[in-house]
Amino acid sequence: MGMMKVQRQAPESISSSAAPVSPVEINRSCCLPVTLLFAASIGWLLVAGVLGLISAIKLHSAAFLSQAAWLTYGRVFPAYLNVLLYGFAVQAALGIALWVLARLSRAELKGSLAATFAGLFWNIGVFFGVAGILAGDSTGYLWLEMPRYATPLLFFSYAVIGLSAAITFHSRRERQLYVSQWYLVAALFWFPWIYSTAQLALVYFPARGVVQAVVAGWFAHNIFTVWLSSIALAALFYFLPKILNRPLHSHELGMFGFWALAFFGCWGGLQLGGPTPSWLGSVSVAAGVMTLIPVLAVAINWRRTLLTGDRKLAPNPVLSFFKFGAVCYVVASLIAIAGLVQAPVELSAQHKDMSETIQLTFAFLSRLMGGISEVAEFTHYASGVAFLFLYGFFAFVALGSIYYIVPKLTLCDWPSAPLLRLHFWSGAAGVVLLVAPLVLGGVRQGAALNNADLPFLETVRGTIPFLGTSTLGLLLLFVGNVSLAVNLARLLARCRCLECCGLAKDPGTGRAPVTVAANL
Amino acid sequence: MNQGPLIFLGVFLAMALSWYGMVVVPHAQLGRLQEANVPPANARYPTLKSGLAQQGREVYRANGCNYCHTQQVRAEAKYDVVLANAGTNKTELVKVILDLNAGLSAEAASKLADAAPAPLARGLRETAAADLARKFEELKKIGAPEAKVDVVVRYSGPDIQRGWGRRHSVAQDYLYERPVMLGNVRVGPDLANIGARQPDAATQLLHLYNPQISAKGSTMPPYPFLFETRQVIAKPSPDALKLPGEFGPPAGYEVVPKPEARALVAYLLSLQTDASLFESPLPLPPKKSGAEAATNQPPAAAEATSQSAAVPAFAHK
Repeated sequence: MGMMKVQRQAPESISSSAAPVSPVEINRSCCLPVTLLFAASIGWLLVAGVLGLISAIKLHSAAFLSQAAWLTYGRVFPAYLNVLLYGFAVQAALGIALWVLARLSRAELKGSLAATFAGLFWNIGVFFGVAGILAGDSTGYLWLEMPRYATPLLFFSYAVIGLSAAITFHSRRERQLYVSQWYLVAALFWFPWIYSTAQLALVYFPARGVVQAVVAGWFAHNIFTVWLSSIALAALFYFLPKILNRPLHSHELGMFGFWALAFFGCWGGLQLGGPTPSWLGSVSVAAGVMTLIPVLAVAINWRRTLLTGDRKLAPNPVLSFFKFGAVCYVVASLIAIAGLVQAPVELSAQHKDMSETIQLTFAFLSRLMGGISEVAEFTHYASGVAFLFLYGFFAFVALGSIYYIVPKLTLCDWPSAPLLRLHFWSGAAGVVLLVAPLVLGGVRQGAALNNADLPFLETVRGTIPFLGTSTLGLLLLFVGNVSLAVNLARLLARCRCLECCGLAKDPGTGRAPVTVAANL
Repeated sequence: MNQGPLIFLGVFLAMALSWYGMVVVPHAQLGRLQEANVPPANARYPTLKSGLAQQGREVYRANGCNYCHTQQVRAEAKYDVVLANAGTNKTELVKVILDLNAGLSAEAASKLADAAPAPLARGLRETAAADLARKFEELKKIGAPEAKVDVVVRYSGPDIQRGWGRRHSVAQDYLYERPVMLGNVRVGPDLANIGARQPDAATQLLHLYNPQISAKGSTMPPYPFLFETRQVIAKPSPDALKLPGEFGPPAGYEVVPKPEARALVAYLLSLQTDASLFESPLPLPPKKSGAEAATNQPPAAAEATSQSAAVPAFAHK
């Protein structure tokens, strides 16, 4: 343990200008900011669990907690989404980005203390943002609800953390770049761009009319499909080969997948048929379908990496998190694309002269692809996809990374292996129970909405059994996340954290070879 | 090999392209959208909302109504080419009709010419309908100059059939909305046209106080915090809600809307997308004879509109 295990295509090209920093030193430099980001993100994950359960129950029991304004569905639900995105996901992603970037650069994290303070301010920002939403100060744009007095704090905290990562990357001792670094560098650069664009065009200098909806849709698509994806993909490309102790199947395929995501992924987010210019919807849907290319590219790469070499691997619960996350990424992408594609060709008079085979093929494709998208619009289908992406893909990859990284930082093993297994199983069951009813119920709801003979209330009542099941899924997810929080609290309580972060005297112990947490 | 700058350049380019295409270009296209003149009286549309309605939008935003309600009517526009006037020379007209539609028998064409106003072609796309009308204008010049065709729009789709609106929502409808709350899920019905569908403020207030009053089994939460339950002093307030027994306050108490509730209702009543726009025209008002064929407004929609006007309860259709 202790040596970088990620294989490179050209190992001879290590620059000799500076010797690589030892992993122990790198971990020490990361300890304070990364542990803070991880611990806080898990705290917010629990808050999200509570808010999520409240809003889920409200969807099928309207009178539940309806007396106070701050507990009404229209405030709790956006608060939940924002806690989940900015409290948990972005924060955990930043922690992962800092650590993986430092390790791959074989350089100490620069500006560690500044990043720690920035992490603190990020959490203050999230707190005020969520409190603002509950107080009724939401901006009204999905995934951007935090009021204007909280967002500058988020932006500048991010800027400091991003700068720390950029300087670390710039001072890298290892000149050869690995796929994960591309994803991380791209993501770290993209976030301030999309976030500031959205804030300026929506909150500070609002654009006119539906341009707001266009910008908000563009941001919401980019923060998920491009930003969070990139960080989680970086983690998967780093940890899968590392835990398996074998090289990535193909560096070139990784490069191809990266550029395909960069160029197709940014364009989605708008649907056809809305009050926005229809060319935007067409471009969006076309780009959305093209994201199938990067998804398949990474899927093939992971699969080949997993299946080559010896198959006799000791069961590894942390690896299970990554595998589950990888599968969810592919499934979520496929479901999302299925919801986009409209019936490709309307058989009109112009196509009558085509051969019968072609006509039949078109008719078949129309029914296959158009069938889902026709009913998916304005239903719970979209939230099913978003939750599969957030909880199934991103959260599992992020939590797997947390399980992997924290012991290296704190020099302490996880106190309870059963709690870890409980987290995996209840989390995985929770994702299935949360997402499947939303997607299937969404399709049913959409079919009912399209049938104008059915009274509207019937379309709503028909979703209630599905929503009830997905509430159970959220409950299971919450149980899993509590078990992680308990595990982490016990770990932090007994670890020699201060020593390893270099805050306490006696650096001697901190420098000792790291032996813990080698195999979970 | 140091690929750093190369990657950075690519990454910059990727986002710059998307930013230009998805943010800058739409802004250039729609960012200077202006009020339009709409028929019949050439009125301006949309107009700024009243102060109370603007406050109501803040209540709508603060309480996240847009997480359950959309404000966008989706509809498919189909165009009919209607023979409005057969003119005087029927023989020539039949020739023109046969020229336009070779599949038609002479007998059918002659019937069509007699039946005017009658549809020559139905359910076309906008361009195809315009093409057909232009062709007709060219062909008729020689023999039947008095004959006349109209291109008539009609909308179809579940939103129209549910009576949620009369036409497709377009960018013009949201000119002064800030924030624009299109919504993306229909846990509740679409509200783009709620002001026209349910113009009674008292019904709206009752629905906000407790949706179970007018829509039993609804999953919409009650909003008691927008109302004040207070003791009746001297005589009851004229603003007090007329609540049915089981929903009413204890004896000697009354429920009156707070300013937020009034503002919210003013906003809801202001949501009307009934103007006929160039990019989303409304069907012509029905005429006396042959009206069905000419306008072809779906009967369900017409029924729903008249229903919601006549029945004071919330038309949860």
